[in-house]
Amino acid sequence: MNGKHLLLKALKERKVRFLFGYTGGAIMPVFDEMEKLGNFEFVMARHEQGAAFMAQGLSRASLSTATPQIGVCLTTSGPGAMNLVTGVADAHMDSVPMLAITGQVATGVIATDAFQESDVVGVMMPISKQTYMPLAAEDVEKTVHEACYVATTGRGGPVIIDLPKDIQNQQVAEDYRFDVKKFRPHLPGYFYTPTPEREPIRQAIELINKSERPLIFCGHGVINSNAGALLRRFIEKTNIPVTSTFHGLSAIPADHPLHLGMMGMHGTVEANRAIMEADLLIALGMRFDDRVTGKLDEYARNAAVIHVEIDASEIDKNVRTTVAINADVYRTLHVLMDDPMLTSIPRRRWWDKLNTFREVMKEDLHEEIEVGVGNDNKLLMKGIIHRLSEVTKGKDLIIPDVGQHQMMCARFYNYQTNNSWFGSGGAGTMGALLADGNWCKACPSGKRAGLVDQWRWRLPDELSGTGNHHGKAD
Amino acid sequence: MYNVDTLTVCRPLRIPGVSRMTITLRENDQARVDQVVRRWCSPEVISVKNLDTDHSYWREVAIVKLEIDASRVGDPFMVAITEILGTKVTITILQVAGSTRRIDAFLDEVGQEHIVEIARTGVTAMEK
Repeated sequence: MNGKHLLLKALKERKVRFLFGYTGGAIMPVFDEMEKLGNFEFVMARHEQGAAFMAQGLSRASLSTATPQIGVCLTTSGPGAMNLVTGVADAHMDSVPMLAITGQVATGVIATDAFQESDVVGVMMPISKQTYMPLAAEDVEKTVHEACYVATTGRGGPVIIDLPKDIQNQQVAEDYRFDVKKFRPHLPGYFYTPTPEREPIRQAIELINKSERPLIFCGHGVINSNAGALLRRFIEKTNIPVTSTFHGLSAIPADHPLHLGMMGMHGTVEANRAIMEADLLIALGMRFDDRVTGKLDEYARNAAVIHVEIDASEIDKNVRTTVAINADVYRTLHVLMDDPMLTSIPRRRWWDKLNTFREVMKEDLHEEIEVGVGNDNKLLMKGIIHRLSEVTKGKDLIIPDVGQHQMMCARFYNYQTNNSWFGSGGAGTMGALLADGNWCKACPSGKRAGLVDQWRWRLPDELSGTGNHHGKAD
Repeated sequence: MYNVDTLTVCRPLRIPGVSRMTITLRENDQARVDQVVRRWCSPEVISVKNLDTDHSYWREVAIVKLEIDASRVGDPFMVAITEILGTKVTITILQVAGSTRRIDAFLDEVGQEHIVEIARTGVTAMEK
């Protein structure tokens, strides 16, 4: 057995079916082996960046299904690997699990500026969760399993395996043995704590019970931990209003009476005014991004902050936390729900205030949406998105590109299905849509709607070709 | 944003692939320091300890090339804290080891105008 065989064997054991990418010299042995094995579906992108977004699309869409899959992309060394950079950085910013396997020049010529050589580990390190370069065929299988473990546990993210060409062809020693059932990654410093500790839970409940003007932030962690339905039960039990981050949208129905819409720069009046008036923010799986907070020294001045976050490094990064709960959102909500000390309070004065915030733009927006055209006699984006929402009953998967139309989708689509909104958020990568969207095969509704600004149709040309070739675009 | 002030790396247990790094930051805000430390907890980091000057030993070594009068090298203060590595006409090369404060005090005592070149390791530290 050799490195390339063990790579594909390990991917098969991880239930990987699709590989997205583009071939080239330094990854050719793996492609030859794949041809022999014949049990993968390889999707050739028109550009490696597209392959990275296809892998993201698969990871995101399968997240809320019974069988989550990790999206895998496969490219050659040098330019092939460098073309992945934007897609990898995008997955890193948006916490999307992904595995990128890149061919590398042979170990004997690494660091000699060999043909199609790039320092992939060096380039990818700051924009990925972890990078690996196996230097012996015996390490390949273990590395793939460890990489998948790291990518999909805790806060998800992209992991890179840079595999030199000679290691792909290298035979393992005769006594080589690897038992995947007994394999446990040896990562003594890598720990994530899914279950919350008791003391911060007690403190959080005390703050919630005491609060007159609480507000819940529904972040990406709610989607990633499949906690949408549980959050809905939590807000209905406690009668606390909720606002969503960009990536938290669709976790609970957008028109739920306790939902104030999206927060931040492009958010609703009611959500943003509520933040400024609140005396307690309960942030669930989010990172207080600058588009959410604006000026930090003026942000939510009156509020204590309970921050529930699986990634400890996000706690106290931008906003000072009163009670930090370093744990999985689903498990935390479960513990909070089951605690007999948690009380439901009507908070009528708070709700009266929130309802006045809701009235501020209600009539103007209603009229604009009803009329559907602006002063220049052109169609209004918000009207189009609203109509799309009516036609699809808010059930379809919405995949926007990046820009104004994306924010209109975030504001005016009436999301009804959990995990039905994928957008490039943190990195804001234009052109992500078509590659991302074409491979959301496991989407909950089975239907997809991709939206893009008119002038940007040119950008994803190279990506759209793949979808059309494979007949996947709806 | 933060900036690393000093960084030292060693292989403490002679285990292949394992290094011990001592990294110092200049930051007065403890919450900020704690947040930066949490950021360093990546999958390939075995453990991270936060060491402050009160509860840990901080040491470093400096090699200093001085253009200085020979009589000053014999000064009791100099003799007490330095080791002469070599001399050549008006140039003396000294080693000074100890806490950061001690090295800074030595450099202040000598005076910037006499220092030709400095090599300084940066801090290596261990909790008490």
